[in-house]
Amino acid sequence: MTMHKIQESRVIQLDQLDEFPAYVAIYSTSGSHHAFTLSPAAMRWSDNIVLNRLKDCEAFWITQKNKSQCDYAALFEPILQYYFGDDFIAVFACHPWQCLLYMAYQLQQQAQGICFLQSRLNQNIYRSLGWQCWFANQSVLAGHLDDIHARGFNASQFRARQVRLKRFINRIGVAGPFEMNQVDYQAFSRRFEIWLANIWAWSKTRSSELQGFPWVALRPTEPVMVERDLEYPLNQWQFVAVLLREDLKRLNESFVQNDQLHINRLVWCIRLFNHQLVEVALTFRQPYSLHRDAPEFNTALYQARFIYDALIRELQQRDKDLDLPETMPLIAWHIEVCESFELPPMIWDLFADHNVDVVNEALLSLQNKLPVSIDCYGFEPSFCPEQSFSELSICTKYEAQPGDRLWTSYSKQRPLFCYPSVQSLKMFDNCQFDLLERCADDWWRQEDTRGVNRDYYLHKDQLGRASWVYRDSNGGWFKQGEYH
Amino acid sequence: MASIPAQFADPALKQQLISARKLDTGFQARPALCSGITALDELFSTVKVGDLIEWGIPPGLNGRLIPLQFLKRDIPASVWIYHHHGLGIFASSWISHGVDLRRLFFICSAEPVKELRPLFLEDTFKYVIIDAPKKFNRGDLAFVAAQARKQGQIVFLIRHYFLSQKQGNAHARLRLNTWQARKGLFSIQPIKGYRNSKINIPAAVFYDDA
Repeated sequence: MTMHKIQESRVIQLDQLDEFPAYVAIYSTSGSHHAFTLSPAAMRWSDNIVLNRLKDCEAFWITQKNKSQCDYAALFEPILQYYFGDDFIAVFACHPWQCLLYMAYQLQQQAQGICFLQSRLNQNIYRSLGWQCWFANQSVLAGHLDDIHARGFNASQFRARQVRLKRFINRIGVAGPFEMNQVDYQAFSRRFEIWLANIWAWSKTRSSELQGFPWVALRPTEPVMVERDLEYPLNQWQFVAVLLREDLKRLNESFVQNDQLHINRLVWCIRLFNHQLVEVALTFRQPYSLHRDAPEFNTALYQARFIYDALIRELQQRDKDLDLPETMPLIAWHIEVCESFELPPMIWDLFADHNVDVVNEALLSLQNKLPVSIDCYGFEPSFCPEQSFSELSICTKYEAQPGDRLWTSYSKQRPLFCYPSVQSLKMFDNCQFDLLERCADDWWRQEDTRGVNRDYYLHKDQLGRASWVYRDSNGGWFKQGEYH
Repeated sequence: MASIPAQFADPALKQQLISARKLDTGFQARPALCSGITALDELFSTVKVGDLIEWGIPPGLNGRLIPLQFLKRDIPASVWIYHHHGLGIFASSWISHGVDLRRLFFICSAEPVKELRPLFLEDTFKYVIIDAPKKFNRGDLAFVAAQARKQGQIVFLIRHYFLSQKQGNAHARLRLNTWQARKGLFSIQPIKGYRNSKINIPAAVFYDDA
């Protein structure tokens, strides 16, 4: 059977994003203190520039994008305008240094608004930037490296290497950093030492890893925490829950009942009967509003209950040889908000958005109460079994297209359940199997094309249980699914 | 249910605001379960919202294609809770059978009542399919059945063995065994809640284009 892939012609959008931006740099002179607008992870780069690490809540923003059926620009711009007015510049990129580099160019151009470095248009401009932009933020960077006492960094030596590099650039006559793409990291670091080489690498990297970038996490001026010393030890959840609810209420009141504050992670530090300190994290898949969960705080209590049960099981397992109480009592604890950020009402207020789907909102809320994720799937246009579907965010809206039937009708003979990785089998001659289909891998992407074909069979064992197996071109047998 | 913002915190106003999902949308006028297959719809005609149906579907006999027929057309938000050792969902196969994956969600859990208790305490999902749970005792069964009545859910409880009348289930309205008897034929054997005669359905009914 010959497979043909349907070719679709499409216009290449110059501002189309291929991937989620991991970082954003926000410049504003309005004096706004909203450092935690898009993420709970922020760094104060300078008086007017804040860096946010978006990849810490990537799933949330992708869900919001799918829910709103818009692009990232339409998603983020209203939020930034809400907090910063019209006087801001926001640069989204995969690395914080690239955000800052492009920010220098935007400031030079006296631009306003948001731009995504991953878009093709901005990538073209980025690669044509001159040395002025490249050196623009290095003095601030040197200040941060000095503050954290970065290993191997010496401010005066760094400045000397910068001067040497500038002399080199003038002598060679290179207009911009990206005209030296042939230079590799080792050569650069030998000539101009490691920190300029690091800056060089950050400018070109496609990875969202910091790679030595001095990320100095911005912390709230005062940690938001409530403490409790119990009057008597407790070892039953029904009593712990009552007191925990009171503490969550105190925590909520310390935020002055701010609707916009959303929590990603709470830390619950417990002191056990034997004075051992145990720290557990209550992590929320969707940003959690303590205020809107009042007065019951069910979401936080559900998470705390799961954590508590897991902790007790672990302690019982660890201490089963010791003569300790079966359920280790607690004598004190404190709860601290570790990660939080602000979300404007347009994101969470049902009355602000008439297009919101009540079921999706309920799903997001339920997701926060469960210790496991709620999975959602959609099909992908591929005959290859592994590539014929993908996991989606639970708010993804998809409307069936006329051409979908070609792909979706192809999988009827396949089982409902499959193994994440295939299992090799030894086949015997007297096994019963029925040929179902032939499928070919993406042979044009492989160096060895000998094993690309797969012949799928329905295989029944002696008890009549059916499995989905295939034989590749090399004659090897593998099991990929079960007909449960 | 989504929370009410602070500006609507007035208790008198709160009492007048009710969840939109509790409004009568006429959904109850239709049969609770509809597959589009005459024999199946007749078998499930007495099922109403709040019922629990127990299925005996041993592994490897393709029997889950039958409960799948009720997840195709105009379904409410539903969840399939599974724990098949080492296996994941082969979503393209579900889609090819006409299952609406925009409304059917999946959760992998071996102890659904213990791990997913909040799910049963609210009405987000109207169809709940509990597929071969590793731990599911009588107390869990009673809890799930009671919550189904309270939240207006329909629960499918799938066992990985054939059911028999020797070990009953007082909470289930229907108990039946399903399997693919041979190539081209599916069989359903009601154990409780319907006349005790086997129903055979040609496989072509399930494999024809939806």
